[in-house]
Amino acid sequence: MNAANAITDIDRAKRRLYIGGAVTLLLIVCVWQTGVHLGRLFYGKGVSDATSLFAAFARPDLSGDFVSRVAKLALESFLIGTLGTAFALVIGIALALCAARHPRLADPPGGRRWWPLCAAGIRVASRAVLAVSRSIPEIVWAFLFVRIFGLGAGAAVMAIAVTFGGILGKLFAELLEAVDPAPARRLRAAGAGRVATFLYGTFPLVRAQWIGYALFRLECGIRSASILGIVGAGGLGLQIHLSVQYLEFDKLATALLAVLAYVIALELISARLRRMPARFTAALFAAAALMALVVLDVPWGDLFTGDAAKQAGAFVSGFANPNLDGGFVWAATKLSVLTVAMAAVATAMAAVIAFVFAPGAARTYAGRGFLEEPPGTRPLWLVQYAVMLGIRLLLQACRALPELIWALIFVIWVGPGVTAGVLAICAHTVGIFGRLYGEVLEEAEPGVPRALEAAGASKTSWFFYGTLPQVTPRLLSYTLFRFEVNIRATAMVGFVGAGGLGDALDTALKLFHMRELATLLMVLLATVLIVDFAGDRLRARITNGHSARSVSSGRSFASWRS
Amino acid sequence: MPNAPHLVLEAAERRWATRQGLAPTTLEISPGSRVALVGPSGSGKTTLLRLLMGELRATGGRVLADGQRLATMTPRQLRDHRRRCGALNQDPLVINQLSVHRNVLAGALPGWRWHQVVASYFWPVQRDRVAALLRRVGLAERQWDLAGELSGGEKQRIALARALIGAPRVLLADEPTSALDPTTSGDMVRLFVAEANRLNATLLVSTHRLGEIRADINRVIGLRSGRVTLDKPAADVDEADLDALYEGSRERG
Repeated sequence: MNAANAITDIDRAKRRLYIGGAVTLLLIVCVWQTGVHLGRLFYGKGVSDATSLFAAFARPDLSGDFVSRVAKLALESFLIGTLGTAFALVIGIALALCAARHPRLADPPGGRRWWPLCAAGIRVASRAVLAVSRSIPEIVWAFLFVRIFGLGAGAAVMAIAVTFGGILGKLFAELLEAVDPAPARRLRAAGAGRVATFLYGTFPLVRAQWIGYALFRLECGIRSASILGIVGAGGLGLQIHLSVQYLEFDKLATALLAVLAYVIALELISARLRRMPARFTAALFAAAALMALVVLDVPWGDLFTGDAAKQAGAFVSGFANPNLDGGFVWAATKLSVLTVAMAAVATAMAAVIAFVFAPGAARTYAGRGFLEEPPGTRPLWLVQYAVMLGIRLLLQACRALPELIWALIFVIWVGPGVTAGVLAICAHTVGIFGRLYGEVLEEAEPGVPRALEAAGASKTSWFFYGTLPQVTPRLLSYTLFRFEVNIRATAMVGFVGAGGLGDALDTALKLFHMRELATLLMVLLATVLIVDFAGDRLRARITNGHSARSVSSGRSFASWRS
Repeated sequence: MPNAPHLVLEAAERRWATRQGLAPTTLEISPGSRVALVGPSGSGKTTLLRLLMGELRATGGRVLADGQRLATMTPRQLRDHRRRCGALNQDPLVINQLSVHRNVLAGALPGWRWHQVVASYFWPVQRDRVAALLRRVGLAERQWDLAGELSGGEKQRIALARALIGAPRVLLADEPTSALDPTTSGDMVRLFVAEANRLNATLLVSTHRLGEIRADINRVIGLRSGRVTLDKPAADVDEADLDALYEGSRERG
């Protein structure tokens, strides 16, 4: 059975070492090419600024005026997120209904001949709209809408509405196409019209999933609303933007703490609401959206003026006629490769850091192991427990601050450029990975590691031989998936001066060079598509077809289903 | 080779929040003895074995190995005690994603420094030692296959090799063959009795199939509802004893 040419552990080890070596080499090239320079964290002119920023956390501006202003902005962020998601829901459902091809129903005989063709046209068009609206980053949308509405909440609401509308529409359409077509067919065969078929045959089957996903997106929207103000679109981000511009560190510290509190409060509340019936949460959502419509002072009329039409026209014509000058396309390509390299370096750094810390945040690994304690070791436990709690808090803080905010901090610390961008992505990703790795480790089957521990094996031993082999594929595939997500995020941190494609996008937007903007966006999209495609293939190999994408997003929104 | 430890339970008991695993029990297992534990499911056989190897802590009474209480041992001494015990479970508990080689090697880990453990994760070591062991359990050909590709009986052989690689002084087998078919089960029993003989280790086997192993043991301990109700030399145990033990249960094989 074991022929001479069978694979042995030596072959496996060699293959692993080759792959590991190649990846390391590639990362070294990335570091070298991007010019990331971590030394600037410790010396350079930004360090004193960073010190005063951290010192400011000890004495943030807590004057009554300012705190009430920040609180008002936080409320505004919440309302922006809610209203944006509500609009996104309308857009998403409308487009999903046009884009979905489900169920394949026989049209009644004698129907209009041109209808199927027309339906196909609508379908393709709405899919294109969905693709464009979700592929253009929300911060770019925010920029564009600032031109229409001026500074204020309206731009942020529309940015969330458009981006999330695209995301929701895509997923809603996918869910529609995945349901069992039998009930709809039966209704159709009984002579029901399109609307009745949908309402009674299809919608009941997707309702729970739609609601679950909408609520999950609501959470994301509220979170994202806290930072869009960085480009002048209202909410907490606006204050951060202003404080950075005037280098008012005490005010900046207050605003950053507010974002931290905002995100953590959101997580706590949503964790609680997840245990409630979804109907209850949906009702709260509707009430908050209505309130937002009344409270937020947005000149909606501006959307329908000639000026708005002109802006939209310029944007669209930029896409119709992008700058395809060879030199510019080459520069854009180089920038997007640089962005990918930055994301790779940041993700790898975060993975290493999180891999070291994640076991410290997981209960089983932080100290107690699987067996009952020898009674003599109890005092040490307190220390271990404290360390575990400390690590958890640190990871939580890393996760709670969005990449853009980390980018602001690091731009102050190490100066504008690639290094700040990489550090920002890395810091946020450490938080994400810390939690994800911890969960994966906790979910590993305890049987073998427990048996090894019972046989007297040390913690290192049972971790490497009992736990790690079980979870390696999942750890790798989550890491790869996050790398893909991070490419998009890296393109964004450039908006606050942290290098990469975002810098160029920012310039094009500020100068209103729509043709260049279109080229940059298209190159970014192409890059993202290529990496996504390659990543999907690679992950499928690692996990034998089990997709991390569905796992990582599916898990978080599945918990919203009641 | 050091001697097998002298294991003693002094009114040792194990209680969980809702039920009693083992009522206060006093027993003595002398080095080199061959003991079968019998009794219906839930009668406390597993609890007894786990108490002896220090995997569970006694909630009352004392468990002693060579006169020393397990409860007062330092973590290091407790680990040393656990290393002297080789365990086999009903579930072989192999890691499907690792080769047979690494699964067996996992049994040798307790004696290693952490950097040796990490290094061995990246490069297979002690290939000859594992190969020799696998020959003895009849898996010589399968050293480099992934454990997940093997059958249930073969996995139990991996588990045996993993227990043996540390040259245990006590072999504790918890219904090691109850998931296997009768023929495989018989082979397996002969195999670990032979290995226990070779190592001159104390052997403790819990089983529902006393017939399989009767010829190889010298003592039978019967448990019922967490109490020892039978403790005789193997030759003296008759059908009536077993009937009394298994009364009202249908598991006897």
